[in-house]
Amino acid sequence: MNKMGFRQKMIAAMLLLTALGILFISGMSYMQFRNQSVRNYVDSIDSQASIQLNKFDATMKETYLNMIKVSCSEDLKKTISDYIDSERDFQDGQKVSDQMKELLTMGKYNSTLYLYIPKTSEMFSTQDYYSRQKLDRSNILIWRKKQDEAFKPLFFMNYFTGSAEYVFGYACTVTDEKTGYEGYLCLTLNERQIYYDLLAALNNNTNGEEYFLVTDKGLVCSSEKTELLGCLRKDRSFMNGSRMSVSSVENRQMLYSMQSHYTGYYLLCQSDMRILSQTLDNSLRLAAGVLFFSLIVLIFAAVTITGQMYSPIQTLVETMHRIQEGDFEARVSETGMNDEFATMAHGFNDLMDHIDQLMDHIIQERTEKREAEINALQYQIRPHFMYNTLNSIRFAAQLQRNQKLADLLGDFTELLEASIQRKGAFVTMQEEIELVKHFLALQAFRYFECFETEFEVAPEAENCYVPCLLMQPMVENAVFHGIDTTRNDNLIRIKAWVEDSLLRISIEDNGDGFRQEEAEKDSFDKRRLTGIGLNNVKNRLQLYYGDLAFFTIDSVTGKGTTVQFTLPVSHAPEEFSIKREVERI
Amino acid sequence: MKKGWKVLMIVLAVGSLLSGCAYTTVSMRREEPRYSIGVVTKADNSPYWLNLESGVREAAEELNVDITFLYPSGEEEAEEQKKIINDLLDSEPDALLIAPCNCRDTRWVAERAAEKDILLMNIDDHSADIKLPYAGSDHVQIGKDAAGYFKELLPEGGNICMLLGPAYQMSCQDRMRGFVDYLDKSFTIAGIKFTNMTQKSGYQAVMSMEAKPAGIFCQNIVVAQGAIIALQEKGWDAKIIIVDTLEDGELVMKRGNIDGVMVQDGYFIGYQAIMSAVEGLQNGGEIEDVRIASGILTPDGIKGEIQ
Repeated sequence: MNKMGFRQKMIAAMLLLTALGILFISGMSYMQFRNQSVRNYVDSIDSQASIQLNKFDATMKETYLNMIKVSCSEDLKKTISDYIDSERDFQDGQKVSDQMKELLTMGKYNSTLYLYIPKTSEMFSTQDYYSRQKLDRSNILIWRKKQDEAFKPLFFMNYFTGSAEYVFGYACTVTDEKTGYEGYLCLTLNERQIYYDLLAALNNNTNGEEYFLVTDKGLVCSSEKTELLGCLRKDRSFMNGSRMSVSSVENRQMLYSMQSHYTGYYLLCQSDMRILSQTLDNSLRLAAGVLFFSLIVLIFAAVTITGQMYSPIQTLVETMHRIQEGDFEARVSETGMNDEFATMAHGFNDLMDHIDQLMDHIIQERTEKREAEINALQYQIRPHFMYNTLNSIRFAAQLQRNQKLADLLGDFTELLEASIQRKGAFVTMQEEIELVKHFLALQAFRYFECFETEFEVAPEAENCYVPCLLMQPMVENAVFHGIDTTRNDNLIRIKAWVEDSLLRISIEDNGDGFRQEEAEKDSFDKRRLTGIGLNNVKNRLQLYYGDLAFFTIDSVTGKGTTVQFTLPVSHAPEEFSIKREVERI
Repeated sequence: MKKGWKVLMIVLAVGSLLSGCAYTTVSMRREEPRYSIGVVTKADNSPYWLNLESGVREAAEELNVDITFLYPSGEEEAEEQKKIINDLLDSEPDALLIAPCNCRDTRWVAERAAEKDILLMNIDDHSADIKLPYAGSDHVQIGKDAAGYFKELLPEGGNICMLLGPAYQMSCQDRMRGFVDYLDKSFTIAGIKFTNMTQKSGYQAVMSMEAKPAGIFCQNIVVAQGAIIALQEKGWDAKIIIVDTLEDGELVMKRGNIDGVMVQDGYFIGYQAIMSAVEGLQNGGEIEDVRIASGILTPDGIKGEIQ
């Protein structure tokens, strides 16, 4: 499974889920359909059986009521008494039979009424043959029944007709209260009549059902198969006290039973469920065929659809492989479609473009960094060399007792040390003033001491931190542009104070001053002279303080120039350092 | 999780196969009836009794009750009915409803029923020799209503004859009592004849009358038809009120020979009787009498309430 590709997994999942779904739904539907079919089938049997059993009940009730009616007939009682008291010849016997025929009104059924007169041991019937016969009383013992079974018909083999036949019947006594004579009556119905009237129509079907009428004792009392009549049924599970029951029995047979309330007899329907399920099985086979065909179609559809779906993914994968192999120019060809895959391809290409840019940037940064490292190494060598050399010269000047030169070299060394930032990016105002003093000492030597300097540094400003050599370019400008070597009253005044939580530094000169346009015109020269221009100072302030610090230049022609710095008060050297700023970001 | 999915798939597949291929096991049973009730009527040879049987069976179906409905060959066949009742008692139903052919011979039924703990009640007609719960028409009221309607038909009064059923039927006695007690004094009871409910007996009863009656109150349509033939033969004209079903009443009313029908609703009586019997079985045998009022069907329509 793990070795399967995405497409194979997708096809497999689709097929598996679909096949399972179809199989599950088909199975459930088949089961439901089958159960419903069985229920419908049972309902159909139930409804037919109900009708036929009601008909059987009605027939038996009519038989019973007829028998009761005959037994209460005064005419019959009198006929019996008259016969017993007569000579009992043929004519007398015929009267009894005729009277019985007259009383018998059993509708459509060809019923037979029997009268046994124990006093004469004779049996009379309404039949044309055997209308009178001598019989022992033991022959009618079969007519006896339990007291509580008055409505249950008798079922027995009737031998009184000449040919034995199974009959249903009701029996009772008839007594003439006047004479005390009595007789035993039995009204019978032929089993075949009942069968053809009630069961034959039910048996005449194509579903293989077999109907039986069974007594409450389990004897088959009406069936198409006459050889079964009078036989005790082996399976009597239906005699469970339930009025209607359906159960499946061995060999996939269903046994339906309904018990008559009136007679207590059962109407059974035994059917072969395999015949019933044949249609269903054919449906199942058809469903299996449809399932197989559906799966074939599904496989074809799955292969086609997933092929189309998989194509952009495959392109993406191939492009990724090319990139892995080092072809960073490789890009996914966009199809122009507006689907998720197009978005993915577009996003991938954008990502690769971005990565390309980042890589170029990194390469450039690395190159610059390497160059910077090399330069830094060179710069580290040069100042040290110069610094050490200058110190050696300074000591040589001291040894030769040229203190002035030694001091100048000392000032220069301090400035050099500051310029290579040995003391850090930020120094206290006091240290910055010291550097300015060193610088001015050098400049004073250069300009033959033609200017004076004044320092007014407020005590609260002394410990404020400022960027190292912040003032030096401005002081240098003041020296270069503010000093007139032909005058002897040149003055450079440097002040520092704290005002409104801001450190203010001013550098004033009393030189000729300048106009703005002159300042712009002379910018090249100024840069050439000082080495560090105003832009340098401006950029440093911007880098360190952002908008919190700035400087202004006021110049009045003929009166001088004043440069004033405004900075935030800082008592910590790292407060506005670049490193701190980076950490803050 | 993956293992769980695999198991689920396998279970689904096997379940599907099994559910589809497994053979259906059939097993059904019908709810057993709650009670078994025997009903023995006087006969089954008129629309009234057929309607009553319909009402009985309808109620039985509603209440899931087994009914054994039996009857003798005629309303006078008390001996047949006695045998039938005996057989029914032997079969030990939960309740037995009888419309006695002989109202004076029912005590033995009550005794046997009590022995077997069978709830016994009268339907349609009540016993004379013992008091039993009753469900049927209010026969006294039928007599009263008939007498009242005669006053409307014959405001002047006149001779009235009554052609009733057998004298040993309490329904006849009740109708007679209600009729006689309530009949306006402007009327004279010219004769009370007990018939065996046949056309012939109605015919003979009228033929035996010496004076022309102004009105005849008949037991039913069958007796009335005999009476009408006799009246025509004698050239008499009389107002006739009968007691019968609505269907029969409407039929004869269209012919114009009958002036009023005291309607007896057999269906409703049968239905109510079973309802009462089941209620009695449920509450230990206590049953209240159900006496159903009858309306009068006249040529102008129905007066009073018919269920």
